[in-house]
Amino acid sequence: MTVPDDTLEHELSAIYLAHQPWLRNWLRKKLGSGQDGSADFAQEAFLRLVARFRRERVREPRAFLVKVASGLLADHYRRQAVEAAWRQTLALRADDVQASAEDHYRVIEALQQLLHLLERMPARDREIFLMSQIDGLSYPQIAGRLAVTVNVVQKAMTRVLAHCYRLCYDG
Amino acid sequence: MTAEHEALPEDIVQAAIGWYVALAAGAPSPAQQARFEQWREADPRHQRAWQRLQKMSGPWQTTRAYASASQARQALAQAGNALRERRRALRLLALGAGGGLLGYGVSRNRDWPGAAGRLLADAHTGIGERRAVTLQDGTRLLLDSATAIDTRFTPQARHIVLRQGRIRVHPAADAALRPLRVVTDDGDIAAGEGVLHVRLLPGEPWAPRAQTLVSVSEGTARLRPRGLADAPPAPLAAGQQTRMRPDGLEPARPLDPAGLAWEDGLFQAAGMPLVLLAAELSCYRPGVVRCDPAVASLRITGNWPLSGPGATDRILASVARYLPVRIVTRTRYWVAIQPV
Repeated sequence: MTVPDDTLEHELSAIYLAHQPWLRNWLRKKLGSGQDGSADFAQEAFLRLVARFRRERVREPRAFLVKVASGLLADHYRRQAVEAAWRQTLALRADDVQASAEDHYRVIEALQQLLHLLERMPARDREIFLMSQIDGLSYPQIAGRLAVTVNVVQKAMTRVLAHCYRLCYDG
Repeated sequence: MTAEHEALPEDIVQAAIGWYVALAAGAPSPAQQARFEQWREADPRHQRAWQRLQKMSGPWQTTRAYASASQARQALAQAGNALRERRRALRLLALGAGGGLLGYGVSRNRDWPGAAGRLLADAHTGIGERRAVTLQDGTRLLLDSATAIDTRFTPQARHIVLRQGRIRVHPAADAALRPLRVVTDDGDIAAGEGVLHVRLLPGEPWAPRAQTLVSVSEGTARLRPRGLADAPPAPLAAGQQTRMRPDGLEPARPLDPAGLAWEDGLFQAAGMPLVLLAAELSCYRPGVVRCDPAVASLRITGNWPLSGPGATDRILASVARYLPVRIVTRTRYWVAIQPV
């Protein structure tokens, strides 16, 4: 069910006026002094709200905005952490110096998303997933290393993928 | 609702995941492959669920394309730790300033390197910047490049939390006789009336554990490692330096003046291995300076100005004149010291 455009615009500008100030404040407090990205984060949160509105009316704009803005902040910090970690990882190695800035961007982006997906996963499921998808081990190899059956490995992979799917598509 | 956001029935998603796992389990037989194709074409929603799984696996496929398994694992573990530490620190902060000495978010410092850690601090310097700061009690600080501190002044105590980088401290006498302490992950340092230099040494290949380097050039400081909070603090006299870890102190050694050269805007090396030089210079420029293992243990001695744009480039160029190495600039943010 799509919301008609003119109604949409009215509603959105009302929401924007009502919610932008406190959202900026809320973001400012979260970010701490000395860093003013609050305008960018607020902007992005509203863009997501607009996108969502095109699909369905958002009943609780405030809750929606807080949820989106929290997610944006989490992404921001996750990205910083991944960037720093990747930089250090590279600093330890002298090989593959050929990578371009663009490659870095890609891998940092990918690691950030991967970290997000893995964050709330039980430790053993995560390990099985990493052994399979990052180390490139086969299910029997993983089963051998962890002294479990292949069936246990398959079940863990199934759980992990379902978890990732929920995060990506049921938000 | 657009197809892109359409919620798919749970059983279809489960079936798609089942196929994903089954196909990933090993080389599928032609029969299995055919059954899969049949399933996929049976319903546009099957197709869509399958596409979503493909798209969802982008992050780990890209990771595998660009990073070795050990690189990816190391980066993930390290970033995960940094985020956990950050959350823990925020929780501690939320408990309020009433917490004990070590109740602050000090654990953020080295696990949370980079711009975010610095920007959130009470005072910070950018890369390549050196800055003098005077605190509300008159205590004077000098902050080296890429340094971040927080200050916690209460009626009972004055605390400077060093989160990143290094500082020189000239404590001011306090009318209320509150002790002045520099706090790090490794413990705290009570500054007497003297001059104190504190640096967070990052965990690096040559020193796998992070540590706090404390030097005293005037007066006496008292050091208390974090894990020995009940033991009497150990004195460190003028002209001495030591490394502090949460579980103890290294024996005091004579103060190394080269370590304080930054305060005069100089970079000094006295028989410094290149791997260490690369790490030191990385503190003063954006990006990384890497050192090829083949030349890591070559040593250099010298004294260079550290300020001004291009200072680290000039130092590297000078190293290449004296030693059989060449400086390879991959990008502005990526410089390598390599054998000739």
